[in-house]
Amino acid sequence: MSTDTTTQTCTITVDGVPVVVPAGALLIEALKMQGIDIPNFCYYHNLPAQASCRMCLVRIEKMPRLQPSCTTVVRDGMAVEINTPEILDMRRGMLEFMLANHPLDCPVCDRGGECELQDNAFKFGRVDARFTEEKHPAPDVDISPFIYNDAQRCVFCYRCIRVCDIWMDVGALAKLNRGAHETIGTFDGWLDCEHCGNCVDVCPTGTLLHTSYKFGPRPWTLDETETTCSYCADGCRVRLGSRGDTVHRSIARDGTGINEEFLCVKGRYGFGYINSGERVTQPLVRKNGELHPATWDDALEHVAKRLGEVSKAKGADAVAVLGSTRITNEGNFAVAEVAKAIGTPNISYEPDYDLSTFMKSVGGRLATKADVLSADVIFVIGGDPKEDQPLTAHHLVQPVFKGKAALYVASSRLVRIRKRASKFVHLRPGGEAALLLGLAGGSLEVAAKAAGCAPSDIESLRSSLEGGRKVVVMVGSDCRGAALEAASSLGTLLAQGDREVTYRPLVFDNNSIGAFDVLGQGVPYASITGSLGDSISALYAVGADLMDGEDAEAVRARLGRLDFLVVQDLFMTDAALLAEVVLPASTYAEQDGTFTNIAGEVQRVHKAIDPVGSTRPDWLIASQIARLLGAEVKYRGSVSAVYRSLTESNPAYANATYVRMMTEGAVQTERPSASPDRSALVSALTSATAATDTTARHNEVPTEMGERLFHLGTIGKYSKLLADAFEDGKAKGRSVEEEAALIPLKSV
Amino acid sequence: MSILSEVVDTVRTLAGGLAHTIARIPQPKTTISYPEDPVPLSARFRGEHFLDTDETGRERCVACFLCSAICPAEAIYIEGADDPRAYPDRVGVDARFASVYRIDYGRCILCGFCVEACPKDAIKHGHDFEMASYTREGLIREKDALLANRDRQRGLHITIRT
Ligand code: SF4
Ligand code: SF4
Ligand code: SF4
Ligand code: FES
Repeated sequence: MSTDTTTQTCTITVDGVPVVVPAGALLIEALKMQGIDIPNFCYYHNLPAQASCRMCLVRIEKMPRLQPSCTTVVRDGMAVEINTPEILDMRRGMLEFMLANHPLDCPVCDRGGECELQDNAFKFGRVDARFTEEKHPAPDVDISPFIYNDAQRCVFCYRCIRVCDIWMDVGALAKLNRGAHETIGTFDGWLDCEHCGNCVDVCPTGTLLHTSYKFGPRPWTLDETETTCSYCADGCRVRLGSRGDTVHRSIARDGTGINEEFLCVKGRYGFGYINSGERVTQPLVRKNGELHPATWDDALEHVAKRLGEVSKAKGADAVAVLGSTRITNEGNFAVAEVAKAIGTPNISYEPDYDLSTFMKSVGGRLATKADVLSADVIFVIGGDPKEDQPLTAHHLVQPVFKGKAALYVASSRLVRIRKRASKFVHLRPGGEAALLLGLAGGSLEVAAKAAGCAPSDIESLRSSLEGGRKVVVMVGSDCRGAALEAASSLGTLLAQGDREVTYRPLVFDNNSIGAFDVLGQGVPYASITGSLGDSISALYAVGADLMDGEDAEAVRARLGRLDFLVVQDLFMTDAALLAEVVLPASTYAEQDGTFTNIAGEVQRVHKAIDPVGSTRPDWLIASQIARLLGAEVKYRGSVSAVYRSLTESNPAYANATYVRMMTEGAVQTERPSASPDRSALVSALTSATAATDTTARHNEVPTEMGERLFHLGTIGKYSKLLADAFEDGKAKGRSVEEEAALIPLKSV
Repeated sequence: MSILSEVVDTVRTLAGGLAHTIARIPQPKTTISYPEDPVPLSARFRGEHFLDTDETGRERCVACFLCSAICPAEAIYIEGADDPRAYPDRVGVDARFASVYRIDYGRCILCGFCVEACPKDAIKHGHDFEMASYTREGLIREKDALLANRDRQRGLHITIRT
């Protein structure tokens, strides 16, 4: 509904009682604000109207028939009746039709206990069934590795289809057949989609269901913990449902976080690693060449002793410490304390994005969800949120679909997000700097030649960007060096004008920005890994994927030359196999803390289950080592105290307290303002443009769905459901047996 | 009160009591000599539960959790599982079945709510009341024991009062 009328109100009467509601609101929403729930199925607050289930009908004075409250807009003086015998009778009748072919098998249905159909039938339905006709039986079938479909339970609200079309921009679901044979499904019976599972969560019945939760514990037996997803930097709020020490599901159904009800395939189905049998569950210390289980006291003392020895013999500089973009801010903070206790400057982490260059010119705050949703121009350069930041992609297509914002995309790859762009500029590899030079007012011919596009492309892009009043620039990791710095100062480069420009770095890992904020990039990661075994003789590596690159063998040789290697991780990684001490860490589900998301917002991580085995949270292990090394560690056994020390030492976090996160959810960090130097940027761009390899050919291979979305990182690999479904960034198809077992679609 | 009237009073009371006792001797006994004699129980007596099966031996329970939801003592623990095989081969009447079904008689108050709640007539009360144990573990019954209970309880040393 139009937003500019939300401050105005109007008065309606509900069953004779006058109430004041916001003008322009939908009746169903206006009544909800009054605490009156109108039963509904097809209505969903952020989906386009459907008005097909007829469950929400009410009587409006002077209207000839009952009216759907989900499409009626309130008007001053409107008189509404919602509880008359007529309406109760109508609801009873509607439910009777919906249950006519329903299997009524609540005892075996996974939705039982949180089913809108069950609740409404209980409240408004008949006690008995008058239909004696035979029902059309339809056994449940798997329609993807993650979703199964019990077609007989459907009420045809089409929430699933609309979610797939509008939230996900995928359009994989459809209604099939007609009349009594109608079902929800796909044309070849198997889902070719992003596998986000959002259709399952919005389904008000037990038709679409998660295979991961099939016949699992009932929802009321689960302890639900609100926490932050551990996969990508978007930082969706998830609810982990656990029973005892096992996490059974990850959903987002209460819609309070920045993602509301949205989750992607990893966030929803990738929780398996938490209870994976392959977790390291106790400290291991190498004796006579073999790793043996040890007590925590022995392992920690061994670590402190050996780190101390190396630093005494070869100097503190011979010790290096690595944090991670995966662990909590508190974890990284405590890891930094270890480096401080030793006195070594060699502290780093493996960055997935050059944030130090990006942040040079971005001051204040990063673009938030609100900025994206209210933007009129969105510019994505050198990245593909569709594959790498699913929530960002979901947010940015919403205003585009509503016609409120125009999307412009420039990339050297045929990224998937280009499909929604008003204009897509296909660059040659490395052509980002040249394009930006053109946007900054440089010679169009020179820029276009180096960028590999037509001069008119740059010109029209520039005028479109300059026409925006609220511009969001999303800078992908294809932008490097001068291009990255320029892209993150685009506002300065464009012609002067009255516009607000905000920026978002398209980082990948869940705590990339947090790791940058806490650990900084004082010593580059490469220079640490490059000196392992040479000037560095001891390494304390926390959650570091040391051997995931192409140079794994070279790193292995270097690690072999170290005097002392201690690895702190969830699993026996390749590096852990070489370590002298392995310290078992807890996952995010087993600890409290914070992650900083892609918009620089800090969000809480809450403990859902007790630590698996005798694992401990990273912050606790690191602070114990720091204490054993003689550091004066102020916090003892309390993660909030660690975080308090962090906020005291980092002004950007000063206002992001746990208390605020409790009430506000995501709290934005404020960075010192920056004033980029336009002429320096332009001259850097000019030389970068001159250095562009103009013989580089355009990449003409379109990005396929899942190319990166279905890529499993370290934790995804250990989540059985994901690992079984995906291989090399592709969804595995159906097996031959599954294909044979497929129920042929009825053709009526 | 004089001592005489007190004696008279005592004798009168004694005689009254004795008369009552003597009058009872020829009447039928209400006590039984447990455990030698069978214990008479009402048909609806709520003893140790059993899990029922259908005519072909499939477990009736579909792990719907309603019994454990209604249980005021939180004595029932269930885990559901999927058995995708066809009807004749599978464990239960439905693909969904209880892989774990556990009643803790240290908690159970034998109220019968679970039996009322069960939509599948899967859980029922038997007549066994001899559940005492020297250990807490001895009070816990797993699914197999509960399934065996129906037949085991056929041989109880009881009579059903009509
Ligand atoms: S499958 Fe669920 S969401 Fe989709 S139309 Fe049926 S009831 Fe609605
Ligand atoms: S979009 Fe990112 S944060 Fe959200 S559920 Fe997916 S991986 Fe997690
Ligand atoms: S015994 Fe009955 S109520 Fe309990 S889980 Fe099984 S089917 Fe449900
Ligand atoms: S909710 Fe209004 S018609 Fe379905």
